[in-house]
Amino acid sequence: MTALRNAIYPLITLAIVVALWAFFTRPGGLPSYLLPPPGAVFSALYAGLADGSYWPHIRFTLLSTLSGYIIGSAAAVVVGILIAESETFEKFVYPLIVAVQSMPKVALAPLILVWFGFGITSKIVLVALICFFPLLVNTIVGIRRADPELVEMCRSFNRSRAFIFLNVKLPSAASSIFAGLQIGIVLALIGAVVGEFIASEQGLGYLIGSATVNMSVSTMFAGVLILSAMGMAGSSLMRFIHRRVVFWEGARQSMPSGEV
Amino acid sequence: MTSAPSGAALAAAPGAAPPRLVISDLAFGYGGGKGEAVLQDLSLSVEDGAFVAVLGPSGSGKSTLLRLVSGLAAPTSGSIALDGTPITGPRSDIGMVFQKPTLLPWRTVRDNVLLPAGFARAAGPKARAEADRLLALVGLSKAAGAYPFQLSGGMAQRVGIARMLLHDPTLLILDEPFAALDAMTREDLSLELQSIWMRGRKTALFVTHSIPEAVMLADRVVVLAGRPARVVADIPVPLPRPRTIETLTSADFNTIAYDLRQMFRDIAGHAGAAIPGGPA
Repeated sequence: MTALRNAIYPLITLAIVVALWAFFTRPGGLPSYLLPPPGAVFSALYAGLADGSYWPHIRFTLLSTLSGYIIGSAAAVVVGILIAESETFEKFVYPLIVAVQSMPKVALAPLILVWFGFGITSKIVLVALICFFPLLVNTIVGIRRADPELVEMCRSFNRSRAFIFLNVKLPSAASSIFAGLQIGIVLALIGAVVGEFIASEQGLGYLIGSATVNMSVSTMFAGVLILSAMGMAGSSLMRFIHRRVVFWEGARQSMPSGEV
Repeated sequence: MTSAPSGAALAAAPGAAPPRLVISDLAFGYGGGKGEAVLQDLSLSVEDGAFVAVLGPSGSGKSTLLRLVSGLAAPTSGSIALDGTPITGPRSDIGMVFQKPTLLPWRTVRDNVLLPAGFARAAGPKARAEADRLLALVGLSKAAGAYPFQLSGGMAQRVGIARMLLHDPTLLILDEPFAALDAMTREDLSLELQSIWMRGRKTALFVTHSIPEAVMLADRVVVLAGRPARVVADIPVPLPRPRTIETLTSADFNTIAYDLRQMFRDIAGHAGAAIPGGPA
């Protein structure tokens, strides 16, 4: 009930924004080559979806985003675990990773296109690279933040290092890892679109780019709307999985911890 | 040390059997002994079946002593032996309860009790039956499937006690297990701990900074003080068992508690003179 009521407030804001948008783009208002009226955007969106011309682009962007996201995230968790658990690995690798992290990955996009071609591979690589670092840092921090008293307790009961890792450190890091996954899904979409902007013959980034050449502002908006919907769907899905998997944390907040 | 009030017989007469736990000339300092010394020249022996309370102010090295006895840390010098074998690392015949419940939030109460044996799947039917028996013993049968965030502080600490008992350890180590609980729960759990201990007659080493709690539970109260800490007093508590809430109001109880309190005042005075500005 409360959740439903809380969802109303941002919708009211959205309605006001759309109303203002409609007001300023009314006939005699802003020229439609700068800002098309909401009706034109929605009809472009509807037409593109109905005649099927948007679907290959959506499919391409979805495919490169998801593949890159899965590859980048899996790599980040594995490398993060290695760095958090192995001092040798940390010493040899972590400083370099920190150095690379501060570099804007988008600047590497042209290079990646040269190396991996103009097809989907280069997009997947760019996406993987972009969502790798935030999740890597979150994984390391999450594992390091495991309660030392829980680790000590397990040691006192003669539990192995593998046991402690699987049953204390990894679950402790779960929340932080999911936070990284949630940031990652949005970054992944950015990576895919940037890759498509630079050189591609498909994808929503390409759709927006080619619409720019034609000055078809309605199509540009339609592409942006589809991308926003994808981003929102992805991060809501991650939030949902997060709450399901890390059930003990939400519960702890909602349950007052009283004494008997 | 004190004029011991006459009471019922103690668990074990001194000299009857070799002590189970022998700590001799123990020293511990951080940084492999190069840093500040926490314990020095600490010697202590505990007879089989005895309940010994280690009493000391906060920061007196009590918890460090327990970490050394449980094998979680190695002493800088000196030795600790259990049944004649030196303690070199954690062992399954030692069970430990911590100040905080330290339960895994993502595991059920039953799995937390089964932790020393792996969890339900790995533990085997015998350990599972034992876990259920221990949960009944601490009055938590109904909460077996619950998660730690659904428990009160007292219930969580009961889970910790059940977990300690899972491998049927012969030496119990308790590090201020009731310090974070309210007074009522604390009394209840002290009495429960006593009855569990009386049933199994295990050897227990119980650290506390509460004088009444130490006198209530222990056969002997060992007082740690100073920096580095050493044993400054070793006082028998010959009160009859089982002790009850009434014990707390008996004259004998109060005499012992009063003597201990006086002793702490004296020590605090000395320490204040010896180490100006030193931690209390």
